[in-house]
Amino acid sequence: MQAGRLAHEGGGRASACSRGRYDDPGNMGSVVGCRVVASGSGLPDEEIIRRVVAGEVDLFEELLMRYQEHVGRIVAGRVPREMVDEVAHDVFVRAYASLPTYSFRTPFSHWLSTIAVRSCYDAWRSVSARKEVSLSGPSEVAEEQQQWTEHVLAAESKERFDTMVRQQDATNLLQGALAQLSPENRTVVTLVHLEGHSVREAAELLGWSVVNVKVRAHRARQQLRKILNIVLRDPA
Amino acid sequence: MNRPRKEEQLDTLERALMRAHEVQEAPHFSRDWTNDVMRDIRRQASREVSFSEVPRVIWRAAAVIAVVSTLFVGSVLTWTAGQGDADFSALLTMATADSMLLTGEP
Repeated sequence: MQAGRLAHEGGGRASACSRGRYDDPGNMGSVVGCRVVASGSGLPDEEIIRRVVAGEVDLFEELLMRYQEHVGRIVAGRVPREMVDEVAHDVFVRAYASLPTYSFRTPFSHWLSTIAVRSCYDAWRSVSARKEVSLSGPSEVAEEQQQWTEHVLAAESKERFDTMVRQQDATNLLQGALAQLSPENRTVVTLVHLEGHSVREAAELLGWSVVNVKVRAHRARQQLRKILNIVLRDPA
Repeated sequence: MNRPRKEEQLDTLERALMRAHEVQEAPHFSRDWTNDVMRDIRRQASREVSFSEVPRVIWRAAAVIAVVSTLFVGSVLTWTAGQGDADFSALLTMATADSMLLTGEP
């Protein structure tokens, strides 16, 4: 897992970052050699942002085109497929609304990642408040996922293992397991354990205290392992 | 022996799911989705403009109303004051005339 992968992963179609890590977790904006090259209008991000804030709203579409893949990747890893469009939509509307507060100290992709991560967390909170999603309990592991688990454990080669993890059953099992966690724990476990962010990075992305994230990260991982343990225990 | 094996399996499963998360493909957004987002953003932008216009309109209206009110009140006061003086003079004249009639003095 590469720390800080999230912020520059994809980076928009036009971003050209020389490295995919944060130089200093305390200052996520200090990415050296990451300059967003313009596409479409040929304008750099900073120029577009200034002009959008000044009232040229239509130019925002350029940012939307550049960063939709980046945002889509973040959102798709956090919410069920049927919620991706709606949450990604919300991310860009929020980003537009907050654009006047963008300080240009951090790369735009990172600033947008923060909004995306928080939007996903908010989406989970509202879903869990409305109890809309039928959370398939650990006792309800689908036959296909059970078989997938057996096959992945029996995988003898790295190639076989890689093929297995690309199957939809892997995503379904992961989503099912994550759905058992609270929105807070789910968000933390995704950032820290699945994506390899440091506790400090996760805390900054979420706007939470480091201690809070640290405690949650530990608890959430224990919970996730308990859930997976039940999957292992279930006979095929 | 069972416990370490179970832990090992758990680690493998966890690693597989981490990798599954990592290799997840980015979704493709349609042109309609982009248009929807931009429509919402334009709507929000027009709302922001109209909101930011509100204070200016209010201040202008308030200033105009204040000036008109001052002029109106001032003119009313001036007119009323003039009327008062005239009425008082007339009253005084009438009172003097009455007293002259009653007393019979010139």
